[in-house]
Amino acid sequence: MREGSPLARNGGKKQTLLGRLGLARKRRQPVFHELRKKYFSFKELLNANNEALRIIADLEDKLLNPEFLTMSYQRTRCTRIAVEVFKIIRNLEILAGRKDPTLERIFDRLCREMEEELGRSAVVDTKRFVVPLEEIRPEMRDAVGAKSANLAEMKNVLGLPVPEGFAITALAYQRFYEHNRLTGWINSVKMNLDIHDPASVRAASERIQGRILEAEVPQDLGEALLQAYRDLRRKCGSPLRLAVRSSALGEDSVQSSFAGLYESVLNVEEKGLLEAYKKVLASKYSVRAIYYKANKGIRDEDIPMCVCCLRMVNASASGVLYTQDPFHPDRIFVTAGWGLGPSIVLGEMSPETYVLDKKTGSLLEKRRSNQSVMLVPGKDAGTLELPVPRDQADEACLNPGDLEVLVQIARKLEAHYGCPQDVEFSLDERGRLSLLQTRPLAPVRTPETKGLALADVPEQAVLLRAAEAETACGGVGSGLSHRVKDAADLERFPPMGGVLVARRLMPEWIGLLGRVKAIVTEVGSPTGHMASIAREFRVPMIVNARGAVEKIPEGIWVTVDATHRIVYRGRIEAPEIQDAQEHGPIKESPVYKSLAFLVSRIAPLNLTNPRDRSFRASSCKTLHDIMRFCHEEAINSMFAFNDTQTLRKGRVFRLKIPVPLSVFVVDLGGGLAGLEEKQKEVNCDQVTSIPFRALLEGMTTEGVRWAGHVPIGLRDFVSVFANTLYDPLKHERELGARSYAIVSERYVNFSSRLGYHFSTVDAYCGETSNSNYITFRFKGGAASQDRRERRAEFIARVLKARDFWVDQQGDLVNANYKKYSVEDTLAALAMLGRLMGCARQLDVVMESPAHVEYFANLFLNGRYDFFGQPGSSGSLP
Amino acid sequence: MTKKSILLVDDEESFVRSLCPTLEAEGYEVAVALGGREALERVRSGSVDVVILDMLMPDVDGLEVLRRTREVSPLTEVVVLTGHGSVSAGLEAMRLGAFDYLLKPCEPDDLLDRIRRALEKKAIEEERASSRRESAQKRGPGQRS
Repeated sequence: MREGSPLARNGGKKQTLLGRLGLARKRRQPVFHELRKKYFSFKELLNANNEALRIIADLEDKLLNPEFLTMSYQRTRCTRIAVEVFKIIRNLEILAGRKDPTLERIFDRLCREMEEELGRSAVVDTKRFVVPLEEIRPEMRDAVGAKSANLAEMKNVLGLPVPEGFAITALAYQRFYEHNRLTGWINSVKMNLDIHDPASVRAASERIQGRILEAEVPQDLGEALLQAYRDLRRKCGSPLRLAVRSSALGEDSVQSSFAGLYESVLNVEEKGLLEAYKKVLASKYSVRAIYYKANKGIRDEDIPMCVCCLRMVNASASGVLYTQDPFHPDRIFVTAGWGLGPSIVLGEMSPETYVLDKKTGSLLEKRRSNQSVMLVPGKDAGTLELPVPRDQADEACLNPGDLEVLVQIARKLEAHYGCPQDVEFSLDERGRLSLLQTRPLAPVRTPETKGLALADVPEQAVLLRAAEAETACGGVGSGLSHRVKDAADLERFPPMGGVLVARRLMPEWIGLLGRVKAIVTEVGSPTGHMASIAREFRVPMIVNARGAVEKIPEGIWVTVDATHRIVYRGRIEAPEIQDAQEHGPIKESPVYKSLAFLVSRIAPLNLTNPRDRSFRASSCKTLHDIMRFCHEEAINSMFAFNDTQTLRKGRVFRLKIPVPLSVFVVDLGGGLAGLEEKQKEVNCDQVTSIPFRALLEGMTTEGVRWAGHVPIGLRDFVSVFANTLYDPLKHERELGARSYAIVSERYVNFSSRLGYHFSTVDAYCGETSNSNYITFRFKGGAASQDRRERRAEFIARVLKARDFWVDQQGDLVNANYKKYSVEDTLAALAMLGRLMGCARQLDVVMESPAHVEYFANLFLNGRYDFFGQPGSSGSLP
Repeated sequence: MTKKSILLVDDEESFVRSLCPTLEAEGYEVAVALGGREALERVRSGSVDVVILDMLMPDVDGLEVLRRTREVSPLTEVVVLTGHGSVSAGLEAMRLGAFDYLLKPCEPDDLLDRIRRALEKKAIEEERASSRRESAQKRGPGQRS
């Protein structure tokens, strides 16, 4: 209500509405103030209800468009809606004069469930900080993380060659976090993070990582880790070097690979172990990991960072085995290179490639690599880059025997896991194979991998046709080309989207997800981490496209057909362009599931029909139900004003109005004039409420019929009263229906429940257009649902044509008209008055969609007597 | 014509500084407290119509400020404006009598709307209180129901 605004409130501290309007002081009895309080509560309840409905709409929209879904979004919305519904319940309590314990109990339970969901953190189910690989059982997956669990499974169940090692558990992570009180602090930093601002993401990432690296490993945890190292050394012999890698929960799953997002620290010895552990933990908050999680909707709370420590294999060569070629299901795809694994998976070079027939194991295709440097373990710790020795460079990394073993492993893994796998392996100096990781290979869905119809594309538009290149993710994307050499180039990436062209792809590109329409790189491999991520997010990507940087000019529009490995100049329309990046994998993510749960407690509406017996507090299942129930109860309470002592004492006046409606007026100040003692009825000309006068003028416009028999369509009319001639008004009178106008000089709240429909006009019309508003709500009817909906559509159509903002859902119309001039607002109110009259009986005749248009046109052309003219029904569509 | 007085309580000075002009432009008298303790002193000294209150402050926590404000000055309305999204904290604040619990970032129009409504509530409560006093006086001592 706007009377409280500084603009409206122009007097001293005793200058109240009533005082200002010069009403006699003697009228201001305590009971009247109670009424005003109730009325204020009613307004507050309506405000809260509107706000809560907005939040519901926003949540439901997020369910459909979940990009950048975060837990703090959900926390914010849940907090706000809980507060709004709390206000609704409290205000209803004031209106009704009593508490409703059932409602409160249901509300408390729903809030508790939401709170639990919001605060739910992953369950830790081991009592140990460290578990050796041999002792890991499948049910310990949540305690040791996906990587360790998969390695243990290959080692213990399938008997495949996996190096010795141990897992550092979720409990260890928890101990570390609790000891350093990290959770709350990190949440507060993340709360202030703006995911759309790269500088803010970088700053938050640096702060959090710095804090973790400086944090202390608690003594008991530190000892457990070092003891595990020593135990392993006793078993494997000295010197023992470890590969310390992330093994987060939810990592390495079909939906989320986290490929290459977290730190791996190689060649770690005893004294570096704790530092390496912290480094891996800190990488949970690397810039790219933050972006990745935001894009995939992964709740951080769900990912205790477990860590996997494996004995380092002195790898002479390493590689990646795809048990199924992403683009040819009957083939196995292997890439390999000299030295340690990271150079291959990080896409630093184009590795050797082998394509094998899955059934026969025969080699179908082999491509040479361009490898010039390789990664080897440093003498003390860490890794070194060395040139590949000349004699090796000409040699193949894998011999036919290696390939045969890999084919067998591929078959075994697929049979065991039941889906294609992405496997990392290495060969030591003696050619012995070790498996370092397996995870489900993200499925590539065929529709998105379609390229352009080549025949349609002019040959002169071809910028690059890369015969040797490989498709990392198929499909077509187009945008402005942008060359990227370093992180600074990434920040200059076209905000409206573009095609990323680079020699090699750095993980930071993840920050550009959603803007990158396609990727072309000169080196890299379809089995690299970046290729996995491109496939997860369906960004068309060509790797190993020699000369791309030179051939694709900077800043021009290009179209990339990744399926056919061709880059065109200009924008070439293909239906795939729109499809390429829609429907990401976010819907499988924990954060999305969390949203779905929360929305299930908030949004579904079970209480729809106030006339149903089930329309009561105990039937409320969601916050929306509570809102609906309270709203209805509040309206009832307002209707019941005439039962209160106040109103019986003469503060409610029956309005003498030339239409057959029972209208009662409650004056909160300045809405009526010329009242005499004991007066029970008022004439229209005694109404001084500016907006109510306008509404009445509309309602009493000549030609608008509020009563009378409905002439047509009765044969189909489904009604609880199957009269052959139906007069809704007569009915309503029998039902004792009344309309109430609660008014002040500049305000009207006109509620009418006319039999089976309910409408409210709420309007303020003051000095400045800024505070002027009309809200209108119309719902229900006696006819069948489709007819009621058509009437609602008729109303919506008319209101839209008259510049209202309109929202129609089923037979419910919500409309508003805000910040228009006084003249416009009053004209709109008069129109509403006419519309309510005309719409009154319309639902029963709304036989078809054509009726909607017919009546809307009549109304908009100023013809209000829909049924009055003989033969008018004959001209109906 | 007395201006309505708003007390803005937030330890984030830049936030306070950016909000003050908006409130002043609406015709309010704005006072600032950068911590809970200072806020309580100002509330005790009287004549605060609406408090805009942050939750997480280093000295006295927002819920405590709210609780004591309602004790010391029950007619003063409190609108919480905080970055602390939490269902239980929000409900606790409401149970303690906050007028609303808004979350940052918040549109200035939303905040102004809440202030207007809180002031209206305060005016109604004040009138009720004085009218009760009047009728009690009329009836005279000993006749209060």
